[in-house]
Amino acid sequence: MDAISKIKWDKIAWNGIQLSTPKDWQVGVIGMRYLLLEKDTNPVMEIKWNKIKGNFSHKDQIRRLASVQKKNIGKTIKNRPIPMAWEKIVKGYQAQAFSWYGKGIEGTGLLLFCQKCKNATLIQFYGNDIQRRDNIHKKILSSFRDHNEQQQINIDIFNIKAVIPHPFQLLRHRFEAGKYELEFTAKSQKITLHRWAAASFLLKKHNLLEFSNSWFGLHEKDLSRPKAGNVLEYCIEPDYGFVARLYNSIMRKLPYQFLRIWQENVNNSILAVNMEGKKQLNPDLFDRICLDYETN
Amino acid sequence: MTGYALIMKLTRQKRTSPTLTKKESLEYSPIKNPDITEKRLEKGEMMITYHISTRPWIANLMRHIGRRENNNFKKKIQLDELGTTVWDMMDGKNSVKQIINKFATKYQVHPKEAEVSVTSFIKILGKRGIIGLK
Repeated sequence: MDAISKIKWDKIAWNGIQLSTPKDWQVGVIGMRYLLLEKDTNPVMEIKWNKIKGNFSHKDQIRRLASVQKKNIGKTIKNRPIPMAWEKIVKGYQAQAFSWYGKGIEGTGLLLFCQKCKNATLIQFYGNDIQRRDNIHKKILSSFRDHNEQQQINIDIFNIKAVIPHPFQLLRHRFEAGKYELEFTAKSQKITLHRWAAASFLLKKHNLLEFSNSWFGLHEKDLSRPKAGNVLEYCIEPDYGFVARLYNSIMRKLPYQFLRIWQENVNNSILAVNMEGKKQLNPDLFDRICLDYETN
Repeated sequence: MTGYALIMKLTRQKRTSPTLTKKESLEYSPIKNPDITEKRLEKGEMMITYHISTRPWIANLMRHIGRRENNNFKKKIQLDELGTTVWDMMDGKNSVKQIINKFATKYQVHPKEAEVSVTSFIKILGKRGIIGLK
């Protein structure tokens, strides 16, 4: 059995991209369209992506990257031919490889542009032993995807998994110890995914209903179905009076709301999906999002 | 104080402690300050009493105005269940990394999440002089 087959792999999916990485590579820094992966606190890989409007030029992008990185962190970047082992893997993209070196560290990078989705992605592998890890890099690049046919957003990061359908886009994210929050918007609707841990600690003094009511400012009367085990669901519809509608409009409130909150005993977490909108919400869409949202 | 001494005092360089890399600091083991007192409460949570040292300029001021310096200021801090769990693991043998791993396993949280929680907690205790690292 060769070394690569002994490695355990994990999938990461975040805001439009997905790839497989060795299990001991952890996400150290996360941005809207940025990930820095670390192994034992050392950076091993960096990936940055964005949609490009208009024409894309590898030459210009690498020149800009070289000048910014030289100025800010003393890193020197040079174009290089795409390594032979990677050529087949990246043939679906317009690709340019580069190598870089800084204080005591060097690495190899790729700038990819996909004609289908117009995403440009910058991937950099860190380390002075790039050759030794070439098989790992090949597997990572083979698994890399920057779009899917359904245009949905797959999330698989920090122990949570979700599928958010088109046309919702990620607006903001918060990953704090004990509390995650991801907000997606589309026209006049908003979906927020929540995750709290550890449930055993949070629900020691309050039950799920009290926790939910205090967090979301709701009341038991807003429950849309009888409490069933560890799942609570709320449905709020607006007051149809003229004054109420005017107030909502001025305050930019989203008066329609579906909220489902449940406790996941397997991973000691509390999950919630909060959907809000100006107009009537789609209960099937809400159900689908809740079913696809879980911890792993 | 002479003018020369005042200038020297103002321009004296701050003593900086050696900086540790993240990897190094995770290998260190937290140890409790022997001067603190611990008390286990009824529900199992820990209450810690520790001394607050007077800042030198306050002590000097008190001496000038004829008041005796009082080094007996004490403060109490009550830890919640999560803090007590981490506190109980600080036996001088468990490294920070081991504490993080045990915490993540016990509460089934993501390792990164456990790292952020535990290291922030250790930092707070360290700033108050309740623990040190060895």
